[in-house]
Amino acid sequence: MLELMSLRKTYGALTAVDNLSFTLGPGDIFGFIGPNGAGKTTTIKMLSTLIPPTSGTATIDGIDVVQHPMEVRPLLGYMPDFFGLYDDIKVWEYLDFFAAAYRLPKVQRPAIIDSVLELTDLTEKREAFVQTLSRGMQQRLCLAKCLVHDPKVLLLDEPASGLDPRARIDIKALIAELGRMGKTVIVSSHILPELSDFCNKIGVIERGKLLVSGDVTSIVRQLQPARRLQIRTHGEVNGLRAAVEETPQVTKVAAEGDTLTVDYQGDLDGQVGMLRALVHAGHPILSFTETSMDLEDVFMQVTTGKVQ
Amino acid sequence: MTVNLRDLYRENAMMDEGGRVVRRFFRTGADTGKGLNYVIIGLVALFYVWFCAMIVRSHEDMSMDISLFQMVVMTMILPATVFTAISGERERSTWDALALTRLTPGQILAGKLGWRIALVLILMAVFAGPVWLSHMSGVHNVHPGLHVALAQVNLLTWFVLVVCLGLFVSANTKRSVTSVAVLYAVLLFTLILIPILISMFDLHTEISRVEDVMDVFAWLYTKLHPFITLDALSQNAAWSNQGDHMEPWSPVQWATILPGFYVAQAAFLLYLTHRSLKRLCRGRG
Repeated sequence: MLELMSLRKTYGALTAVDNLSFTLGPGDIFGFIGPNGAGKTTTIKMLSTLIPPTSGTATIDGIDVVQHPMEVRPLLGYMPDFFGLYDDIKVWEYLDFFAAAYRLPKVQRPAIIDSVLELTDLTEKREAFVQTLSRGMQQRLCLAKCLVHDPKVLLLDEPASGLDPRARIDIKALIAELGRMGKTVIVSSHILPELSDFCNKIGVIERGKLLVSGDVTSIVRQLQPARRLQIRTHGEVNGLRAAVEETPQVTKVAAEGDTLTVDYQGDLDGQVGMLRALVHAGHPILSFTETSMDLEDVFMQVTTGKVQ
Repeated sequence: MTVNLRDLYRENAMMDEGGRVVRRFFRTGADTGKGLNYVIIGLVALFYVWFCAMIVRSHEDMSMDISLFQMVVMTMILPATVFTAISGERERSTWDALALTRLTPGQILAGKLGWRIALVLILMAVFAGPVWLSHMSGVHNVHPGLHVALAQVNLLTWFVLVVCLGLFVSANTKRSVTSVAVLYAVLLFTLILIPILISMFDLHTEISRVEDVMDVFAWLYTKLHPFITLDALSQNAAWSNQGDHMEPWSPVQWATILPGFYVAQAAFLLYLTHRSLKRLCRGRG
């Protein structure tokens, strides 16, 4: 559906995006993570055909975005980080204008507008003027505008920035629904918890370079080869630590308060055996949990924090 | 060709931009406020009626003076309606959304141009009332009807040129404030400052007295200047064909040719604007 091969963008001596390559399929929701100025917006603008790449190719549904931008555009829905709305027109008029601009037949437009309003939960605001909508509703309206022509790929640049917690939750649910509808979605953000709930793939970009990309689980496995266990005791933590360190598959143990964080390279049966042995040895175990890295951990592990 | 025109005018979402502006004006009052807009419209209507009544009462043909007045007023008004055409879209961050639709640069340009030309025609019609009323009711200093008609044709093409200049400037500036400044500066420079400089340096503006290249410039410049042509028409061919002031054309003949120059310039500016829009739609490096 969407394929980037060695995509590059330079502005004089500055390399904004450097040899970016990844592939996404229908239904993929790709979290594009990176600090401010990492190259996320530049990449999204190149994919949306708004700026030409310096070199490399990107195809959407097999069509080259550089060679055939006009053919690609109907396949795209692009929501910029800073978007504008026309003043003093009603919500349905705004959507009708864009539906007409995408050359949707006049007879079909009312039904399409109704369905995108319903999807974005703006049906009640159909007759409202766009400037009277809250920031969150305007974000949803912008997303509704991106959906009127039923694009296959959605490029959402910081879609939840500036929203209150409820509006953030609403927009996350909406993006997850779009993924279930089979659309390929690229969502850029530097707010990681925002992405962790609904992205099945991520890419971490820093200083224009894609540091890691792929399935969230495979990236975590790649970055964290050992299982990480957290063992909380009601008793004496040093004794528990000594007992855990005796287990052969344990590679690292760290204590904090009444909790041990353990890197463990064995399998699930081994974990069960270790827990049984600790309980048998009389350690008062309160909890025994396997934890995995979240996006924040991944981000902190792969990025250096340098900006260009 | 039929298909292209259909694309440009019948199946073009941009053609409703004028309707949007009008709806905005009457629904919410846009930036000025609904109440103030109605007050302004009321005052202008009152002034218009009073103006027409005064014209009838005067028994004088002031059609050419009103045409000159019309030129000043509309030359001031039109840039204000056009300077945000493209730069406003870019400034409001609506341009990208527009560029990503299936609208072609030609459709966008047609939409931006269409309602502004319609506005020019409406204003021309508004001024046509007093102009022809004065011409028909006047018994003193009567101008030939041909002169009055030619003046109106010259004005129409001049205003079209101003609109096209505005679109060109707007398409090539990122910010509306720059656009409006450039537009008014160009008009001020070409309509007022250069004529003042020509007069200041005593350059010859009659073909029979042209001596050097600067005189050629001055002669050509004054001939292309809409106010000067209109003024010559209003003075009933004071732009003489005799003696030192011999010119190749009478003002009437020149006023027949000049609209062609304005239309050609307007077409060239539209071509350049279309090129700029194509560049903007294609994406910027």
